[in-house]
Amino acid sequence: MPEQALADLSVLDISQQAAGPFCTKLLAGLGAKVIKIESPRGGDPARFEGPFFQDQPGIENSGLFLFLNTNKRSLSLDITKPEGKRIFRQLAETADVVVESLTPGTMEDLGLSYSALASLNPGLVLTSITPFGQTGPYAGFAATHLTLDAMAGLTYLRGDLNRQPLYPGGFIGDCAGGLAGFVGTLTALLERDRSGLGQQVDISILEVLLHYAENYLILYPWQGIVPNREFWPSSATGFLSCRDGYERVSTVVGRNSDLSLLVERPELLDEKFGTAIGRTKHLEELEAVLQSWLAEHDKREIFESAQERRLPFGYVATAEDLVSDPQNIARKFFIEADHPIVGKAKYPGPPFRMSETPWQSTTAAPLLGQHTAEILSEFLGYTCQDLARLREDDVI
Amino acid sequence: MTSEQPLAGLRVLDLSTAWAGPLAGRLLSDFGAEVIKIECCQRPDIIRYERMAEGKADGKPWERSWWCILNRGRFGITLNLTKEPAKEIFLKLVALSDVVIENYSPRVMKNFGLHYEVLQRVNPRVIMISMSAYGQTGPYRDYIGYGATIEPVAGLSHLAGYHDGPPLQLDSSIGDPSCAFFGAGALLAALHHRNSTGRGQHVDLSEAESVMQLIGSEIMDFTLNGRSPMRKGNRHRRMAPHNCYRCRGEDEWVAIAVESDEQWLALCRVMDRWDLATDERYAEETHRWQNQDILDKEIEAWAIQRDRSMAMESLQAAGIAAGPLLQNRELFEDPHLRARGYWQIVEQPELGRRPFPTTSLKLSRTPGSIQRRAPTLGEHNHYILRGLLGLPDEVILQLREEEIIGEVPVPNPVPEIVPVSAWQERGAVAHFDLNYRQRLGLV
Repeated sequence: MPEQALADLSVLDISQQAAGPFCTKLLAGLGAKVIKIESPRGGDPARFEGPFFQDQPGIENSGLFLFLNTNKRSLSLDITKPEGKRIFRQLAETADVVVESLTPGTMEDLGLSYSALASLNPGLVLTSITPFGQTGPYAGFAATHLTLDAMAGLTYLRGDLNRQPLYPGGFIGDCAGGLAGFVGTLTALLERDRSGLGQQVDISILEVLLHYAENYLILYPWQGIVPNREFWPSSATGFLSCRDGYERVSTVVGRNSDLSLLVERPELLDEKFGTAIGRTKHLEELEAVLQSWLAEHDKREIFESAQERRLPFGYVATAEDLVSDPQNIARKFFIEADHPIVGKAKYPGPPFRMSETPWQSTTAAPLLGQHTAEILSEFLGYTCQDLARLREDDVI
Repeated sequence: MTSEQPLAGLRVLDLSTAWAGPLAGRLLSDFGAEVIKIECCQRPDIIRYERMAEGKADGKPWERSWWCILNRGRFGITLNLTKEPAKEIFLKLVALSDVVIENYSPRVMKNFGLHYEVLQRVNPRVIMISMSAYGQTGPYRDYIGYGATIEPVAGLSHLAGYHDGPPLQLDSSIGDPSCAFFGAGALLAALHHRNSTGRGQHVDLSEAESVMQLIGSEIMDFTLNGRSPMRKGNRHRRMAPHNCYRCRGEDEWVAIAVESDEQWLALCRVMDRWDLATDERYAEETHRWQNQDILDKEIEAWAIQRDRSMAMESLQAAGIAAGPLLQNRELFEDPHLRARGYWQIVEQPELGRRPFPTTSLKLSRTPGSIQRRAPTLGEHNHYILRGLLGLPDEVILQLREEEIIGEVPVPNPVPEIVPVSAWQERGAVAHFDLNYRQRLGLV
């Protein structure tokens, strides 16, 4: 049985919501042993976020939580209590990574600063994922994906000029932060492979989002241009409606004849549509011509016909489309896992495939505190009586 | 004692073009990897032609701004891999390298005879990552996709937009930069594994599959409940109010997200609206969610009288998540980013001093850094071919004569760039500052 790439690593995860947990989901998927530490009352607040299984709110029913926390074990532990802190420190002595997302300063207040943890375990990597990072005038400010998207210069660029600008929805920004935490953690671990020493990885979700805005940020210091929501790439016309949904139509330099053949409209051969400038100037007219053909065809059919002619279209897939998409089916992208409460369900599979070290098979997210007894006896030799006492004291 | 950079001593061959591959390479070069970009004079990286730099470099339209940003930190050579001598040189480099990054269509490396099985025979330790639109296998494997066309197929675009409008054009691509991070992560994981086994491997990264991870929770609504989420503007599943509100000034906005009932009361206090604070219709989150159109109007009435930065300050002081919608130029002047040292001035030949993003991965003991500026086309041909591989001058001369290597694109139509005036005509430019250099302290 081939081993996983990170099978030798153990991770203590006290992060909450989406960013930190997405980071540790990726580490767990590559084989790291992730212990998710949740507060005994309620657990990770992400358990209270929808979509809920059968629209029933419940701490084991959250679709967000189920997606983010595959392949992890749950230890319910109150690390604000002295006994909880002691247990955490003991676990940290032999862990490779700790991931946290607390407001900057909180770990210090708990006596769990990087230097405190490093003195217990010099090889420990502490990954801290927060909206603005550990330092700077905004460190500790309240934020959500919506507000960070705005402050990264992204929201301003999206939507109609005369309506409120838009963020892209869901938890995209948070996951981007978690993904950066994943890369930062692995970078620090590679350094540790060499030096034996750990360090702190400080991720600011705002800074990560700036990478996503780069192609628009650079318009200013290189040309003095501040674009608004009307600005978009010259090589594409955007989303046009078709018979059963929407298609992303891409016009490509020098390929107008292929486009014209695809949509059976010889008027597209007119030289005014032949250049990027021309297409920008005559955008509405171009779209109208395309629209008339698209209205008679379905999105997947359009996608496949266009791609056969090497035109880079993209069809707008709904969640349902993703599950029935021929590529996802052929690649077996969706993977079924069983969960004690929601039962068998399909989950999105790995983000990439490795030839020697396959992704861990998917185990569903843990119930709150599901592995508490197992972990405390495995790592610290706790007996049933010990656990009963801890439960009475509300530590676990 | 200065610590060595995490990836010092690692050599990466970067065959990739556009955004995702080169950004993955940059994430590695920022931490000390030696990245050698391998281009081809017959088809230089398309990014070289993107985003003009005002004034300069029109004589060399292949040394433009986005190239400089994305491809900093690496050496650059050219090799026409369709020719046998170039393939031999490439394999010699593979023997001396740790990582190969490529983002060609899946059949291309095979057609070159340079696919993973061949590379592995030359160097069993080499780790190769193939970053493609839809993956190395399956019915879409030969389909062409860019970040902006993969996002809809991966389900992102459907979820973004006004509730009564079409899918949103996510102008700044989400697909490509996330794919870059996934790619870098995969390489680092493979390197970690190689440290204990000595073996390399092949990574198959489909941008679509990696990007679907970002909307995992929305996909679960279908896999759990048989229902596809629909776009809903700035609305959140749970939080309300949650939107962007127009402030005083021209096209100025503040984003506000109320995460809890306590924050709702705090917002009412800031807005001096006791009537709303005591109105039972809004006390509970679910009720606020149902009535958010009404609440949005109340907040708009407050926000429109205020400067967006003042709005943010008073809301943050009350513990509410709020932030102004910034424009690109404001990010270079932002006090927080300056305090964090996010921007660094780098000098490019002929293009002068410009602010570059450093890194969003802040490692405390071995921080990342910009190793060097982006290479001009084929800038290090001699350095690598002679210096690293020891090829004699006559051989290098021959390669140049056969146009296998070079420093200038072999005649190719220069991709057309839409000039600023065309954007201005469409009303797509909020500001056009001729004095931007002074404003940013570049002169």
